[in-house]
Amino acid sequence: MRTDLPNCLKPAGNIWKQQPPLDVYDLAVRLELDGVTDSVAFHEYGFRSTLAMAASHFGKSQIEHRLPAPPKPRSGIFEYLNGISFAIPVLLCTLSTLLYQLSLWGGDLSPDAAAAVAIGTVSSFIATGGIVQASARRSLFLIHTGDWESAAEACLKWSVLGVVTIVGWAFAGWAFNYYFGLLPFPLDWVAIAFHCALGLLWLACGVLFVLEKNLFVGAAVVAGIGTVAICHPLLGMPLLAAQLVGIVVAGSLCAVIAAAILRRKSHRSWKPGGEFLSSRIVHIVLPFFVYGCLYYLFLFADRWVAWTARTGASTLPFQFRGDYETGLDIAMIAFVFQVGWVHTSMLAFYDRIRRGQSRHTVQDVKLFNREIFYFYFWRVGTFLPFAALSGWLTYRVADSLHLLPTSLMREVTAVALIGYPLLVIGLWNTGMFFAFSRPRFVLASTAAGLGVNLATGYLLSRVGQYHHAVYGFAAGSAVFACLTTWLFVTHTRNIDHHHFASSA
Amino acid sequence: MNLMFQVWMDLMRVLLAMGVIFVLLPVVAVRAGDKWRGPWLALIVPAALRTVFLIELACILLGSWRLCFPGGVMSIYALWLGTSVVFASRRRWVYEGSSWKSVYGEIWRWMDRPGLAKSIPGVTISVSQTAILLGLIITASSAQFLWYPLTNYRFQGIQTYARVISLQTLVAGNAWNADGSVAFLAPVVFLSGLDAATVIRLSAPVFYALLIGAVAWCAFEYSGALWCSTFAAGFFWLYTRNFGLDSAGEPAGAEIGAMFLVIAAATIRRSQGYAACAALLAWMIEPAFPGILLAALASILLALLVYWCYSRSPRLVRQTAATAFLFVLGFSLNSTLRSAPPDGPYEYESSARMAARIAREFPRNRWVLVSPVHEAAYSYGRGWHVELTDFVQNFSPAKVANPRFRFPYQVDNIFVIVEKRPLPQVAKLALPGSPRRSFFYSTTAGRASMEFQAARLIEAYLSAHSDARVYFEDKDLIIYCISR
Repeated sequence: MRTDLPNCLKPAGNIWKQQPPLDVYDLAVRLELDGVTDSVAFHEYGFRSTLAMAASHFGKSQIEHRLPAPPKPRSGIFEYLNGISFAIPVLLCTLSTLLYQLSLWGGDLSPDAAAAVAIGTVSSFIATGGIVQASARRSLFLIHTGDWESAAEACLKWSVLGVVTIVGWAFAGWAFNYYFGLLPFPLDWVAIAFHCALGLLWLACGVLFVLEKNLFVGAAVVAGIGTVAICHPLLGMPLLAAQLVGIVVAGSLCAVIAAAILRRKSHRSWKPGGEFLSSRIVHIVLPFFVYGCLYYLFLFADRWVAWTARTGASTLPFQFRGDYETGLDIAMIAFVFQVGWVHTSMLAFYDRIRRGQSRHTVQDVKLFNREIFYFYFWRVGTFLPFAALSGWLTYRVADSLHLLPTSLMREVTAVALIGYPLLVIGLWNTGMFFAFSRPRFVLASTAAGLGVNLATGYLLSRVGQYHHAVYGFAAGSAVFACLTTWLFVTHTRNIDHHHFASSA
Repeated sequence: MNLMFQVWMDLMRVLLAMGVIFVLLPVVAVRAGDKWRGPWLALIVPAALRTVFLIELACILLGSWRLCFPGGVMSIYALWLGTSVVFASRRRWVYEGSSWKSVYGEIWRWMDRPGLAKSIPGVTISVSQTAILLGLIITASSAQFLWYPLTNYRFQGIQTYARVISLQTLVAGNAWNADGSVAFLAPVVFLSGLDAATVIRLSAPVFYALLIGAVAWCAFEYSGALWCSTFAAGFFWLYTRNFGLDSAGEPAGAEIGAMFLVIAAATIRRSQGYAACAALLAWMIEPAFPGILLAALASILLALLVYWCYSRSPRLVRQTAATAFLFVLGFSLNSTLRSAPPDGPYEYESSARMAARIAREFPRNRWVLVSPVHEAAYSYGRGWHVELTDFVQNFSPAKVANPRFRFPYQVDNIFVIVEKRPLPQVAKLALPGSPRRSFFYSTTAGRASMEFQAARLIEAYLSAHSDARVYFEDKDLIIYCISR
């Protein structure tokens, strides 16, 4: 007769430990999944059947698996800061550049070197955007089921895939450049080095964001900037080399911290051999992968268009436009503060759903749907004045600090400040669609927005001046916002149904 | 890198770009639909014709608005391919969500297959002796015009220099006088990643081969016999071998226009629409009537007549006639790869080679080339060019001999090409502008005077400056490089 318990009855080894069995039959099924058939229950555990064994342990199981108390809601300000924490690396680099003239990328570089660094930076975002989105989706799902071993395994495998993608992308870029002769030596290698280093940093940051350890990201970036400060001004290393070392240090720190956290959470028992890129998993995460790629393409499309416009007399086929970039970066500060609203809105949405479910009966479904619908528009209504105020404040502060000395920069900032709130509304709708497991609508809207962004920016920048590409960005954002809003309004009237379907 | 290897690589890039843009992708797009049931070989001409027509039209319009850039042209091309797929499909599956879903499902089923090895269907090609002979004629005739661009950088016809400048102006988005003979080559420049001079130089023999092929195909359409095609191609080749082309030197607009007119004649019995399209395309490329078209049509008619007699003759006569025909072709082939004159008529070969090398090796727009007008074809869009006549007019030896004098060009390197032995001016060149300019480029005395003044200027500069060095020198010319 065996004295040890099957896995599902062991508190420590029970992978359902956070989700207790619903009833005796549920526990019986779990026992059978652990190999405890009627015969095993009879011969090895001394019960008449598996069901009898489940009935015997159900009471104990209920005590051991008592539901944890619901997490205490965090304050709104905390959640808002959590929402904007994704921008920690960019914000820290911007602040460091303004205060100390040092950063992980950019700075006092020659125009050609700046163009190479800009190309490497943008391509690193686009190359990793899809991988990070897909990895986050898969890992978050596993984490929420409490299966940390599989989550660790998924993080590791997706990171390896990310590294392969970065290296493959770099090789493809090198071959493309070799064929078309766009960037001369050594600028091609500068772009490749920044692409690889920053790509690895974004991958590691992505894992930390999944683990909700955003402050570690900030600490790693500060360490990276500190490394640049030591290598460049103190040790006299060239700025580009110092920045590469700084990025590698920041990326390594992020990777080490992420690995340590995953090891601790998974009790150092990573589960090998799990599903990774089976057709089922690919089918599930593909929309999120495509969305990640499209989103970053959308964010940087106007820059590509502006950099390649009117370069007939320049030394490279693309030219980094510092004034255009400054205008966009200033507007992006407002964007970062606005996008925190999406996170708090999503939390409020889930809270509203939870409360609505407990308050309304099946007969009140229409009331429930209407309530959620009004909530959606109320959030949008509250955002618009906030966006206008934050945009106006950003513009005024930048102007008073003499950060916008030319009319071109003022124009770019003003137009981008119109475009970014529209993008935020699109992102709010994106979050809603993802919550309802309807990524298809998001993909269609993002692709349409990207098309309008490229077409409008391209035409305007070729007919007019290069900085008119920013109108393409604003037009694309407007299309993205309008399309997602329209799709949301027309396709999700029965919110209860979509919520149920997405939970199933 | 070995220069010859480089030239062959460039040829491969031009062929690849032309093949992909005008043939491969249009054919694949039509085949992606479910309308076409015939063999893919029969798709080549219609698909290529439609694509060339669209690109020609789009590039002329975009060029007129100074918008002929890679993004715009390639977007229009991609839209065109998408449209081709839609119109090549009966079910309009593009609009049907269920069709997309079934394709999506097919992909997953394919991914889930245990083995991904796919069998490649066997391809059976039967080649007759006549087809081999026809292929040999086309190859040999194109080799007649291919050998020169493979071994020389300079052009033989003044219109080719103008076409190069026109194409480079078009793709650079500058003010452009519409030129249909180069507009459809814009995507080839984009996709091959080569400069306009190389694309024009290496695409010219391809168009000549296509012209011969069109003549052969037209004869086949009217006779249904490969022997007739072979006769037509042979006759036309013999004509061009002995009497030359309409365009001086390289095949140009007249030959390309004639090619499309021959295609129009070949397709008119099957499809009047395609024939009209080809004729319109020919008019857009070359509005003037191409004289060589008469030679092409005469070759076809003669071939039809000869074949009519040939097919009705006794076996002995047929064999004798075929042998005689082959003998004549062989004799012509023997003298096909004739050596071109080493230099001229418009520039030294080494001058063209060095201009192309500078454009290829030095960073974009960081150098200026001071030389006669013809080298502008190699530098346009990649660096700056100052005409030697302006150079000798704007500076005097006394002025440049001042040690504090600097040439007012904001570049890293200034290259000055000076001919030690001024190129004899055998070809009269009518140039727009001042009579002085025409004198420099149209007469041997004028050229000698210009080169002498340039040499004096540089000597004066060298005597007072240490930043100049000899970049290249041979028996005919010397190239100075002034580095900043």
